[in-house]
Amino acid sequence: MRITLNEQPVNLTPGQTLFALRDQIKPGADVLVVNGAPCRTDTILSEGDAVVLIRRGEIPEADELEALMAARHTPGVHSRLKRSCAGIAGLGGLGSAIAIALARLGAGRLILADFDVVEPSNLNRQQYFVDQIGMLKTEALSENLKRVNPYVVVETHAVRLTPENVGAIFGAVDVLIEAFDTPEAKTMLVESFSSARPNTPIVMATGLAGFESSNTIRTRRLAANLVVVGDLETAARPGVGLMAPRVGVAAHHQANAALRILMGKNAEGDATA
Amino acid sequence: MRIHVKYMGQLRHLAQRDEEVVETAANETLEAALRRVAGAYDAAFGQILFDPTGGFRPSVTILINDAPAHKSALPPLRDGDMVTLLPAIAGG
Repeated sequence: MRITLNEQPVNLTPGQTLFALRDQIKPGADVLVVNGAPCRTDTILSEGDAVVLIRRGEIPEADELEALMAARHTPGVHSRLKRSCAGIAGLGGLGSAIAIALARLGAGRLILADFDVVEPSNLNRQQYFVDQIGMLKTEALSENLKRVNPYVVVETHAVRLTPENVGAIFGAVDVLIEAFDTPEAKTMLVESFSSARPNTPIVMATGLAGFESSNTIRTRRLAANLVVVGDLETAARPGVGLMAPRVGVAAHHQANAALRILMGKNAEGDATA
Repeated sequence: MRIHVKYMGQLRHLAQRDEEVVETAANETLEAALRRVAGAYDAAFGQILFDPTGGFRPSVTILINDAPAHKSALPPLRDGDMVTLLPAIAGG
């Protein structure tokens, strides 16, 4: 019987149990994960199972770390994501949170673009730190992503995105995520990229300001290659700010839409737009 | 000739409908057809769609049938086209 143990294939005798495997391979392991879910009771293992054994608090060897980091993923997600490339246009409240979510998923390669630097008013919602004020967002986010998952290849472009450079900068992506602030830039990206790469999906966001209900933020597919996240109506304006919770809700809608696209699923739960 | 126009976001509220069928004249552009439509609604509808100096506002995303269209190169309208109008708004 063949299973994977910490992402490595191993052969077991049929009828082998989880606890017996632990006692044989890693005695004292206290986090036992089978097929993405923690397992606290002994169970007979089956052909194809994915098992991860972790000793809580132990720093794993480098060659084992990546497999252990992905232990709680649904089986099959990490291997597929590892071969994928996602682009993120804009590294503010949406883009920085999306990048971290995709890095935690183990996306193989991220292409990140933003011309701006971290400034104090960003810190109410963007995934940067006080000691990064003044740094280019591309540099600050690269640094943070390396701390989250050193196995993700991060390519950065500290430039202002324009209709002329969007197609080239994001030419290699499997999905492009729009994470700009201004409505003009959002539309520019969709128009320019879909002209340059009509078959590559785009996930855009519009309508995520304030503290209206989280439940009004939705993921909608507007066209074969365009998914839109947001409530479509709540703009950032005087009296209605951008804050971490609702921006984060929208960012994670976008990250999940990108994950679904990369996994070959429909990106939305509701195709009615 | 008839096209179907679908409204998203604030346009949907101002039109008080999700979509409508618009009759268009031969060789009429999408902008001209929508300017006629806008005349039936509150002035805010046209202000969201059109730039005061002419043309569509840069923030309006237009989809024709199943793909985003570039506003600088909109194709001629065809009978049965489905046009979706999404005014993007600030925040990110």
